[in-house]
Amino acid sequence: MASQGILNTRDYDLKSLTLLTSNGVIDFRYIMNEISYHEDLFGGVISGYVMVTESSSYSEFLSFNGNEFLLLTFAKYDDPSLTITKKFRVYKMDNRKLSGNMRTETYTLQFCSEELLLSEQYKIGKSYPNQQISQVIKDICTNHLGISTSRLRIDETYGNYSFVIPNLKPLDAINWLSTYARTADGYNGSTFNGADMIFYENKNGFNFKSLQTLTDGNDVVVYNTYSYDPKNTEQNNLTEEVYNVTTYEILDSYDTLNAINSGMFANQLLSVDILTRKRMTTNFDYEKYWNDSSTGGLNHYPVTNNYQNRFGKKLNETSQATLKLVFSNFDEANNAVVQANPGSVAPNIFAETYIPYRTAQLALANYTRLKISLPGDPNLTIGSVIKFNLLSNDPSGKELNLYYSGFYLVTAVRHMITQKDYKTVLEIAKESVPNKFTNIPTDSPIWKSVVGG
Amino acid sequence: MKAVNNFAGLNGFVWWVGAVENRVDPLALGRCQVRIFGWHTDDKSLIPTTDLPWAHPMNSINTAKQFQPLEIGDWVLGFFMDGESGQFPIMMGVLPGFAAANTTTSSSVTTSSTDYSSSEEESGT
Repeated sequence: MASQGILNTRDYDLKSLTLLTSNGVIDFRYIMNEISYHEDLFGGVISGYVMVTESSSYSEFLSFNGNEFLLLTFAKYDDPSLTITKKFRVYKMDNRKLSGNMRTETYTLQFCSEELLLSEQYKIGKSYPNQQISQVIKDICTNHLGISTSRLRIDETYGNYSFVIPNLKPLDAINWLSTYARTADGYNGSTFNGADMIFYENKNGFNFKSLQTLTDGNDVVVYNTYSYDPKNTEQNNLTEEVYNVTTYEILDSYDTLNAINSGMFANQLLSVDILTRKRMTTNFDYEKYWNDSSTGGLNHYPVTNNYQNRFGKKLNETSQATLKLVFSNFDEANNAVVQANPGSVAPNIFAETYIPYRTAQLALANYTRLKISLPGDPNLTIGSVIKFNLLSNDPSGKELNLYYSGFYLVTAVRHMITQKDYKTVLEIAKESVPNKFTNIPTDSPIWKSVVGG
Repeated sequence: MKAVNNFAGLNGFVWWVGAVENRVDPLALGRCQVRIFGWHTDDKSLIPTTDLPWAHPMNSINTAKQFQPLEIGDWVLGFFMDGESGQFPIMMGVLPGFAAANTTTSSSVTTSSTDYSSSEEESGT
């Protein structure tokens, strides 16, 4: 197993915490109370804060005004290769309090990636005729946000589109385009299984990837295995401790009502083409999607069983539970007049593909969410896959929990550093379970009398 | 509990005003290419007239088959069938007015306006 994480809570090296101001440079390493560095798969850019206590009136003499930069570098103590280093833009000071003799001041500096402030300052009004969405996003990143190509990891998308960006901020434009995007990898020759492209920043740069690519059960790279076991509290074995979870919390477990309303198990799209006066109905069926999926999911079993309602329908068979209506252009290319006049209509936006799938896939990706705390590890980043072993509450005690153990996608990472310790808090999510849910024993007397009756 | 996301008609009515830049519809349906204020930049190097989405006309019920073609520079009011995405504009009617162009500059504010009535030649087939 690779050397990852710290063994002792003090085994970290805060190499730099330097504030660049218009009136000088200051090293905050020895006056900081707490640093928080936060990545979020669904939150766009990296952000965080540094809490400081000082009695030198830096904010006055260094002329803090919200245009400062913060250079942050931290690493594992004995392994400089495990490092996070990044330049942030400070945009806000808050929680400012005087204490003691009224000469000591505590405040928090909020910071974020510079690209967020840049994005807020500009809008894009530009046409992109007949291009892949991945090409458009690459153009926005490089030409409108000034991100170097070495920091971009953009997966190719399927199909060419003609979009006019309607005066959106660059990051808003990217998120808007993401909703239309279908991953090139998700096309299996006849149907698309992926419309779950997301744009996010992690320690390695900016990424545009599909959730299915990140959670491909056939091709997943597991970063590490972590275990939660009450014996952790004894801290007898420090070597084990580094891979052990100190606390965990279940954020989201199954919620059938919410899943029905979000269209996760089934949804229906009515699309209307006003030019050709045609309408189309598209149904999303979770069971069919699961069976057709080439990836098999992270944990190999779906999150529901064969329960049927009193009308004999399973959760994936009631598509009108979530009904959507959009105006589309699905049939225009087949019209004879359009064919005789090439370029007279915009290319198909394939609403029938991206809307039903994306609706279900984003809900599914967060179906089970946990928050776990670990000894600090600067190598942990969003988009990674980890294995989490949670012991069953069964008194016999050595078996893993059947449903909450398994492979998880890391959806948020918070590195928390104080003068005393360094820990990493993860939010992890999975869209499948490692053991099959038991089917309903429809022939049993109790089911027949209570449910069937 | 009511899900309105992606249900046309429940997402809000997004209306707009714009100027006609091309009225020659290759499909002969009365569609126009309209530069919509605030949504499409005036900079034609970024959004050429040929890249503007075709705006579909909404004809009067009484005279659905008889309509007066719009002219280049006409200001029209309409809405987007796809709401805030802004890719499917519909034209509802023409706003009569006078052509004008001027630029005013003060110490902290610069305003400019464009005379769309003479901004573009007709194009298309």
